[in-house]
Amino acid sequence: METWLLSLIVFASLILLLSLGVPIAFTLCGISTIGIIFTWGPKGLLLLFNSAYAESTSFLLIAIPLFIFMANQLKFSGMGDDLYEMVYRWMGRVRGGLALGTVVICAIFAAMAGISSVATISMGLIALPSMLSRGYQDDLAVGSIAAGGALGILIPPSIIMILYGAMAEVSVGKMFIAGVIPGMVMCLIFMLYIGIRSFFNKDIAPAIEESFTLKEKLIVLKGVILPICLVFLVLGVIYFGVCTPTEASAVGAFGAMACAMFYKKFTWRNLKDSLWATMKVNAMVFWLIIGALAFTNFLAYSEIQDMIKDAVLSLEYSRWVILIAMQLIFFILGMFLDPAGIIMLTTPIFVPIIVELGFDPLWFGILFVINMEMAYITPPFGFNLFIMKGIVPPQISMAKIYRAIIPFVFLQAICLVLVMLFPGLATWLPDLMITK
Amino acid sequence: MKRLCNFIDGLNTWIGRIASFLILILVAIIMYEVVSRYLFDAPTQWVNELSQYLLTGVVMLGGAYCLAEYEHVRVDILHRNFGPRLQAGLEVFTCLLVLSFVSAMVWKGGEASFDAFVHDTRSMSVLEMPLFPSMVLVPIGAAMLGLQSISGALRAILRLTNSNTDAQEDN
Repeated sequence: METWLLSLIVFASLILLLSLGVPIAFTLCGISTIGIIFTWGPKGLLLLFNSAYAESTSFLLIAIPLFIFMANQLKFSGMGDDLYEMVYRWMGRVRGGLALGTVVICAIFAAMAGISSVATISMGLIALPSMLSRGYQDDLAVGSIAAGGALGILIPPSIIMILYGAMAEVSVGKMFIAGVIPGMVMCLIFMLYIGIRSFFNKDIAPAIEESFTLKEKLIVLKGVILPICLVFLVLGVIYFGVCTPTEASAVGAFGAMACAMFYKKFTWRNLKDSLWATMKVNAMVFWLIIGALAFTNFLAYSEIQDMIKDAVLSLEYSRWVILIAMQLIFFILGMFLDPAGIIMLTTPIFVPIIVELGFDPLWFGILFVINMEMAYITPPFGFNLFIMKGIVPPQISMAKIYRAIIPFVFLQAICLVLVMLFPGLATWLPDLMITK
Repeated sequence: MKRLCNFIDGLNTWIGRIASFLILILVAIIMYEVVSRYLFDAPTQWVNELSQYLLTGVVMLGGAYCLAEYEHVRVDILHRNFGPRLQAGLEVFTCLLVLSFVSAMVWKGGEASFDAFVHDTRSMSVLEMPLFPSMVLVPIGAAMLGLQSISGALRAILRLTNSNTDAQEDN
């Protein structure tokens, strides 16, 4: 069969199955199996077993369950309450202070957890009711939490970065460190926006009346010590080349359990709940990886991959046009699909093209991750928006959440453009790293 | 029929839950490696390899558990608006799709692990660990996933026939 006809059938059935709601992992596995039998015959099926076995014995990928477990432990630890109390006492008297502080807490959580739901859930439960009852406009409160929570995948550690690193063969340690500065830039952009809006419009985020003595302010600082230690522990061991990302994830998971013990939340029930939750999310991610790997091998074997690559490279456009077109594709996919699914679908096709065009795959990875942050909060199917809907009081409708989030999507787009124009934002810090 | 479904769900759920404690072992042995390397300057030779085999257990024994609780990511834009017949049909179709690659994995994975068992294939490291125990987890995990998807399809059909005969008793 002609390659173009085969690829037409493959991608048409891919789109059909995905839109019908067949789980992404099973769609990828199923299409590869049928495709392999068709193009290669039954002996090719050993490939399915080989990719499953290879991925599930990868030392690098051990970091995925361990970072998920770490995040789940932190969620139970009650650390968020202490952090918020600090923000309340120190920044409450500033207009917009609680929202600004919430973004900072989200960034701290992002630096401890590899997934975005931890910060969103914790702050949605702690900061949101507090802000709303003190007269903060709900747009600002909801937006800052949902957008701040999405920082989780850009500020390391990050499951999405591990997936990208594994698929694109980029060092995960470098990916992590490359995310630090863009993460801070995005955090600053959010804070500038909140700060400016609440400065010029005194009704949307009123200052609170309650005041605290210096002693009361100092005593809450102890709540930050532990999180900051954990952040520096996990990122420090990677940056200074002491540990591989996998070992850092074990150190982090251990640290998170220690934190849970410190807060007296390390109970049998919390432990088993977080283990079980980790098991499920981890299996979901790994079956996606297995499916994507089988699919990639099938695309390569049937020469579909080469065909797409040649077709794109033969286009007479500037390489920047192709890069921007890819970002647009990411953005559109992000409206409907989960970031882990997008990475698995697109990396095998996009990254070889990017390398061929002379772009740095590390930098492209950061652009991808920033784009996926937008995916978490872009209507209609942003993951964080659904988490928020589950937490907010009933009078806040889904439509209102959509409205609240739109300015933040624009702010993220600004950050994306900044990193695109100034690649140094992403590549400067990893170039300084001690080891590779 | 319903009892069969409950049995499959229960079996997969408990295997997944028990296997989740492997994660704790992973954390413990990798911590042990880091500590013994940096504090006692005595890197171990077994941690890296053993942890890779443990990961196979965590991944393979969790897939069916994840499916039992409907946590595999999917695009549900259209799906949630489908009628019960269409949803049941889709569930059966998904099951067939799952069975296609699961049987390939059980077949080829079974062959490969049987070979590894008979020839006592060992890893190419100093440890020379036997590869059979971790390899066989792949066909086992795949078979569990296949069973789970059959249970899902059966439940969908049962729901459909129940709601036809007795509209009062949903769920």
